[in-house]
Amino acid sequence: MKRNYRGYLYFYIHFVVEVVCFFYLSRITSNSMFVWMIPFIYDGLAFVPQSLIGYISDKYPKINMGIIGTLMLLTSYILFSFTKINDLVTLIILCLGNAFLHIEGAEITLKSAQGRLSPSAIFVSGGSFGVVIGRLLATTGILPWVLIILILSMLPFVLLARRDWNKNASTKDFNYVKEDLSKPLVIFIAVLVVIIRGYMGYGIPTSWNKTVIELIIFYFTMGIGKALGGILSDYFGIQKVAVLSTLLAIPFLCFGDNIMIISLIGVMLFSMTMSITLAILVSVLKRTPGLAFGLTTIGLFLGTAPIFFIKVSMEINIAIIILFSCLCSLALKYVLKEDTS
Amino acid sequence: MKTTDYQLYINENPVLFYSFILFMILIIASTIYLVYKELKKNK
Repeated sequence: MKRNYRGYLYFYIHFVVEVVCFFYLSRITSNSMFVWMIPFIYDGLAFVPQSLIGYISDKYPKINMGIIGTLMLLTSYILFSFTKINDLVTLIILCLGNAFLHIEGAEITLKSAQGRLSPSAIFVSGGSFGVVIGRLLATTGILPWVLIILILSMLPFVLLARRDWNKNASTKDFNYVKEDLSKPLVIFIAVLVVIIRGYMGYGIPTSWNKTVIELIIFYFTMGIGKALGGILSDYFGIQKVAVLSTLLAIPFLCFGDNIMIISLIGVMLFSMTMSITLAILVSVLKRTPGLAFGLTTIGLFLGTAPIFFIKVSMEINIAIIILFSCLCSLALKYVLKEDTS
Repeated sequence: MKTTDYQLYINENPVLFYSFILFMILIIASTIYLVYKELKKNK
């Protein structure tokens, strides 16, 4: 492959992963006694172990984590569709399959990117489209085994992404962080920004979001924002995009509660930092991009976990958005190198 | 019965809930150790 198509291949894989996971989640939460616990376990088991799986993948790049992940999703769906096994067992296998596929996607798109953000941003954006499609499919009469076909459709993409791929490729071209800064501090700041983004993602006021079409538009905008964050950073410079998108998002997020278009602009701008925080962590942990990706997913879990326990009023929510966005913008400006272009 | 109240769930399934939390803490601690090890190697 002369051009780098791996971001697009993993866009599809990530899309399918989220379709099958959110189809499954929506189905079991509608039947389960304990609606609260299942999404919480899913967040924990799908996000947190990615750091350890990523580290193993960094050390043993010959292991195809994508195949392992696909087989796990397949096993989970076969058990879910054809047996009466406890939901917790299929949930654990599904979460781990999700984690393995995410790590393979991160490793492949980062190592083949030659320092660019767009391949990993395109890979990451696929998930938002999958989340909403999975949730919608679950409301139809479609049987779970039908999704086994969708899982199997990932296999050629997983294999194609490794074709002509240099297993010794590295992420040494990621140099976005100021060199004089302490590395533990940079890691701490990047993870903090991810935690804040994770928390805010669930807290954005969107009273306008009531119909199925509006839900689809909301998630699609989020996906487009994630992809654009990487693409625009490659064109205009990472620091400009990071600082401007975080600051510009504030008024749109705060005043878009009842006006869809204003809210969507905010959501898109707010989603742009996704690949930027990943690039910061990879710039510091160049030899272990899988571990760096795992740190971002741990940050997402820590950011979303409070939502399961605490509910805040709209006024406090808006105050949190303003304060945290300014904090993120300052932190990103402090950590990132000046753009050369 | 359906419940979205986390306190109810924890009261009914304390072993599962706290084992899960402990497992998460263990993975996060291992990750911090791995990051520390990597940073030390890169010096």
